[in-house]
Amino acid sequence: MTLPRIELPTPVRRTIVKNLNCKDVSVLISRQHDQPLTIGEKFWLRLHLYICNGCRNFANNMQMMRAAMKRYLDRDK
Amino acid sequence: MMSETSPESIGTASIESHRSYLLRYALLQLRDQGAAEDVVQDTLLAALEGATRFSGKSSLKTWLTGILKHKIIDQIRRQSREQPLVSGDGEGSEAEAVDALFLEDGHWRQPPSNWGDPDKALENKAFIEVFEQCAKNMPAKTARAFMMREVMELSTEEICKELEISTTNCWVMLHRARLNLRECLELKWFGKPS
Repeated sequence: MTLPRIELPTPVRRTIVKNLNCKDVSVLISRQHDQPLTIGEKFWLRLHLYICNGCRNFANNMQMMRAAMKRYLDRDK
Repeated sequence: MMSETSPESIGTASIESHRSYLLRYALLQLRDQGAAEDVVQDTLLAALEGATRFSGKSSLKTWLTGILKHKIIDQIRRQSREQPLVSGDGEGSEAEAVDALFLEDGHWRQPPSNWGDPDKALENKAFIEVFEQCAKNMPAKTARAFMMREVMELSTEEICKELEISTTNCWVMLHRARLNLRECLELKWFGKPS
């Protein structure tokens, strides 16, 4: 299977031979909450999340933080 | 055709009922009780004066929030003119705080833990209080960008424009803010032995 030609995000270009490290991934996960990632970024992110428990938890934690913000603002007083 | 919430039906009482929501919203962004109360007061007054302009197409709360947003942005502009957050202030220590979370090779020093069933925590009043405490303890500059994104739901473009920073800088700030808030929640809530 050949991968589609993709524009690699800076952290990926930097570590092209290795996988993204967790710090790079936390940057992508954060940015995902602000704008859509590129196809390339999504691909490398998913690949990393597949093998990394910590980053999967981080991604879930981020979603929960967003939900908590809504809940906090909307709570009845 | 009569809309369900005709302008005549908006009175002081229905507008007032949203005061505490608006105040929480403003306080998260402005971090100053006096300033937050002022913008909310201005918003409620503007809403009463302009009640006829409320079309009923959106909910009253959404309409009020829209007015509040403008008042908050004006206030942020005024604040940054009068007492700008010193650029570089605490910047180094914030970068260090992020670095401290990772090992040299970019792995987590302490991998984030599984927070379990989100609904369970979100239903818990004590958790929401810890969340509030953590949100209010974030460093000023990162918090300002983070709240613009998460409370006011501005796009990063709008935030960059407002704060006169680059997109990259904006993402850096939001990333730091999220790591900071997550760390606080992990320590103060999820790290607790249950």
